[in-house]
Amino acid sequence: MPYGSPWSEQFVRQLADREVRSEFAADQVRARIALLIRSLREQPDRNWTQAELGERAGKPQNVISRFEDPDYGKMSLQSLFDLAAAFDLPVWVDMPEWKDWLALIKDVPNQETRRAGFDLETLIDPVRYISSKENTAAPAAGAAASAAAEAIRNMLIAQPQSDQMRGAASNANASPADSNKLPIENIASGAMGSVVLARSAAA
Amino acid sequence: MPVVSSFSYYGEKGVSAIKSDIRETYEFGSAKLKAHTLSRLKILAALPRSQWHEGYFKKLSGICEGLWEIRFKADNVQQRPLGFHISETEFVILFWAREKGDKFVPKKACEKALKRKAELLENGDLKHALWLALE
Repeated sequence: MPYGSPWSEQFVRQLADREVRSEFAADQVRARIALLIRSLREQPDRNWTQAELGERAGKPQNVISRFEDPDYGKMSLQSLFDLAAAFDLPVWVDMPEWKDWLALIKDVPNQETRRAGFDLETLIDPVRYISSKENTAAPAAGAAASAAAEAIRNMLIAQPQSDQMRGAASNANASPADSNKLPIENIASGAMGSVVLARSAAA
Repeated sequence: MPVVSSFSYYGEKGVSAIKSDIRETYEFGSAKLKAHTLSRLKILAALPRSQWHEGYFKKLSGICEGLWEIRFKADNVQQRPLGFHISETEFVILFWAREKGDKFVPKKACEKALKRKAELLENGDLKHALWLALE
């Protein structure tokens, strides 16, 4: 396996043929959707039967059973939205580059998969938001997530008012658009370490 | 999630290479067969045995007792590689069957697989690490 790469040379060579890789990618998506639906349905705080999920998504049990069949693959986008709404989760679709996609498929939905539905309080409170991410972070990422969360927590405690924070952001030569963002927006945009902490130092 | 399950297959040592109809089925198969085989084995490899759900994997009974099948569709045919877990984390593929109308093709697929299982348990040299890289 090349250093720093999550896949081996042999694995990638197996995908050298265009038809093989197209079919492989399609089957991965089909199988993963099926596994994801089952994992979310069986998540301990839901623990729904197929019939219960069907009731929430407005579909009969046998349709849910079909959606959990990795060979089915004919689910409509609307059905996916209906299921996501039943779980109170959004859907994200992308066509990434292969290197990004290959990294994404390292994770397979399983019994440890946890996805919490929309929670206003958690989403507007960055400290709790980060803490909840800390608790659900993969073990390998745990230390980094904890360190980032701790740093952000300290920064937020050091700046009692968000108005002061906006002022500090302006002083740190942040763009006008950035200066209007609440910390949560920067965290959600993936800039949590560099942008937010840089502002803290400038303050 | 790292690979938590591994695969091996039944094959006899030839003069210069391993003789295996399982491997030949893959090597001479269509692009779809190769893609779906790789995809399903990769999914299963990332899951512990306890999470190999029906739909992906099934215990057989009756004259096939002692065998399990990996289930997927490729080339509009139900592919059914037959095998067993030689340990909690290693699945050995013994024979590559197909299913048509609730019957295995060839008809004696289970018989052949069970014979190979007995041989392999007697002689570990018949077991080889999977030729495919799953990560």
